[in-house]
Amino acid sequence: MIAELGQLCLCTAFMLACLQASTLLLHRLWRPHALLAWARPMAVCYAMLLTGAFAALLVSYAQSDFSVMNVLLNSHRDKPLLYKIVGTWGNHEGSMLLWAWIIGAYGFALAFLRTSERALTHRALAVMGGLNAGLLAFILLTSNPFLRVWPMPAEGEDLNPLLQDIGLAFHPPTLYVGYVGFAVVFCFAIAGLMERRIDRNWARTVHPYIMLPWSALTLGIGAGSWWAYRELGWGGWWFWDPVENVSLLPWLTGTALLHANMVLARRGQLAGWVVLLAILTFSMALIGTFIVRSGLITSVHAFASDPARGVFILGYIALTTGGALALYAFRPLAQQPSSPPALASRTGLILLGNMLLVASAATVLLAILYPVFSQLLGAPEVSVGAPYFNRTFLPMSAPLLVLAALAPLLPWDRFSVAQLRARLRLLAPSLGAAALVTLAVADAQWALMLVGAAFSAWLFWGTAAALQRAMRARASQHGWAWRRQLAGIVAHAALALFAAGIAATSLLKETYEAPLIAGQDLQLGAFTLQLVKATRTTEANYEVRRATFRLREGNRTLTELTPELRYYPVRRMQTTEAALHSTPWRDLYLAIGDAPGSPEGDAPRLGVRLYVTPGQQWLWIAFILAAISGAVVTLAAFAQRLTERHT
Amino acid sequence: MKPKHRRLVWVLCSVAIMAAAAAVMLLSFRDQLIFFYTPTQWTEQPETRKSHATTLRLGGLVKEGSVRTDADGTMHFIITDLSHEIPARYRGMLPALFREGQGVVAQGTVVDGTLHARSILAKHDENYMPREVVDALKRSGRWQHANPPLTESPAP
Repeated sequence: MIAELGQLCLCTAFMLACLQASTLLLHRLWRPHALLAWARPMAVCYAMLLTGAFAALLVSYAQSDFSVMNVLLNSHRDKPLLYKIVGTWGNHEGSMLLWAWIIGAYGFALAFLRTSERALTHRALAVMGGLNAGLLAFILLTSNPFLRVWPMPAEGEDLNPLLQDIGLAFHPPTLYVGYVGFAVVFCFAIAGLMERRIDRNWARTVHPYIMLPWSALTLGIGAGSWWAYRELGWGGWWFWDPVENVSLLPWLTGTALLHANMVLARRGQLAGWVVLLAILTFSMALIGTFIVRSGLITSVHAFASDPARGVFILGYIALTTGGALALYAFRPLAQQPSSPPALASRTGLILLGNMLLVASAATVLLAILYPVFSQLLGAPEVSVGAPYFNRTFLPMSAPLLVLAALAPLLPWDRFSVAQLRARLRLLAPSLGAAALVTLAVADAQWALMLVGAAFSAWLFWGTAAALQRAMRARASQHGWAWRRQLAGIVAHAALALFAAGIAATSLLKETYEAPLIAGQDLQLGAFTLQLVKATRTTEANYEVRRATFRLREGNRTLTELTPELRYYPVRRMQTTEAALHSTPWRDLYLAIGDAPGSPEGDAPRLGVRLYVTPGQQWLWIAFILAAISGAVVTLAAFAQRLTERHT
Repeated sequence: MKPKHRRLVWVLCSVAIMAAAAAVMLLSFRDQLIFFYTPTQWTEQPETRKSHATTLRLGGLVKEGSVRTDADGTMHFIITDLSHEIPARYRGMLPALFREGQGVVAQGTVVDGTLHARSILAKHDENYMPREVVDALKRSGRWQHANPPLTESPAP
């Protein structure tokens, strides 16, 4: 019954979305004035219907209703309630419904948070109706989560054990708030092109809808990395897996977009470029969806593949991106294109950074698609791994750190060579600091370390200088403007911390592996591992082997760690749960796993892996700082709008 | 500077950045790719092999009864696509699902006809085989649809 209600909600929402989109067409044909405004109540109804549909699926999961195919394939009675609920989006159909619900929530927000740009917002909502209609058609035709099974099986097939982690509660929702939010920006871009009006007001209206998804996407990527770090048991946090790369694409173009939009809001420049980036960013999010859901590539994330879905999404991309680009090409913005910015200006540096970001995104996108093309052309199968990205992505993105330190220190319109020289002199001590860091950790890879430390120190120094200037100018700014400026500085500091973290984790990481021998302490470099106790217990839906170790460094006992090996009988799958000892300076990461059997041909023995990773916590802090600063800018934009309305 | 000149500066900038991106990409595509071979391809088409020192991936099944371990912990096994076989050796810890008769993709270099694997990729559950391995078995004509797992929905 509940599933049928959900289905009914979806069908009604589909028809409503079609109507919502048609207001655009009817308005174009007859121009009745009030018609476009109808998009607003429709968006509200759409949000409610989708909430109903999503709630129906949640309830089906919570009640373990195995007569619903989606629940049957992805749940189990013995699973803890938390994973029953978050398991709703741990599969293709459920996650698409979450996607549709989030876009509904954005529509709801658009309908209620009124702006001075009322006509523009209504038009954007109508465009959103079109996007929603396509999305719901996709869900209803190829990925219906409410299909029934008859007769009802007694037990479900359980959720993939790798997904049974608290990461599932955070990672997909935040990631989708990011992906989907760029759909809102896309709608505004289309609406602006239709009205031939992409100007400073447009940029101000859209800015929170760029910052919020950017912030969420940052958090989502961070949550995914954190999850992979803890759950996969290999001590790494980024594997250049195609699906990880896919989430990086909209982040890169989105970062370019938010900076370009700042220029547009402040200086009225780069209007055409901003629109292009808005279209590009949403297309990247769609291409990501296509790659993940079509089974085009093998990856840890690959969902059950179905060619029909791939074809549908490809058609959707062709229609939205193609349509938007056609509109962009054949409907030039009415205003005379403003003169391009001077290279020697903050605007110029931002545009330069934009180009680097887009070029970096291009190196990643081509690497994702290369194996596919190579296979289509009948060449031998290839995979593109970490070495490729270290050689292409890092050199393309490293200059960004230089720009990120310089740009905030220079004036918006023009700067002279003397000004540039003064800033460079200001930043010079950072290079000395980098040399000191390198000497302190003198290591075989010191040259690379020097480069990493130099970039990071440079940016830290730059943000410190920017902070100092902002403090000095503080008196002239009121509350939210000040907070927004501070948020920008914090975001750049987060980038510096991130760069330092990457340099430290990738260059200074130590790895130890050894088989476990009964009654004997393990000597791993400077560390000694003593097995305190080993247990084997049965939990609700898995069996678990735990081993408690006392970890000593030299003569000092650091901590006790208890890594686990879990075996999920329903899926016949084993997962590792690493044990962590984190300090601000380094992570000690201990995992147990199967070591090869002994020469006598015994059953496989247990082995341990110990990773000592300096700077691991810096990465997580950087993700969180960046996300917080994005959220502050979002709030600042909404708050300013409120005060403007009251005055 | 006139707008025309400024525009020219930006065109040059973007061309330079695109050229740089294309250059690093082409260079890396030439020598940083990891090629995948099935045992049959490796044995029968030596002309497709890249130079010996490069890292490659070999995929197939772990031959039943082929896994043995030396006293020093080095493990030996055979990768087969049921037409041809390649011996492989590996030191270190295994992924959770390495087992005889199961699909495996091993990455390393081939020295004297033996794959010296540096990593074993088998992050998948028991029903699922890496697509490369399925393709390899299909190509050697030994693929059977034994117990396809329940994945797609029949009509309600």
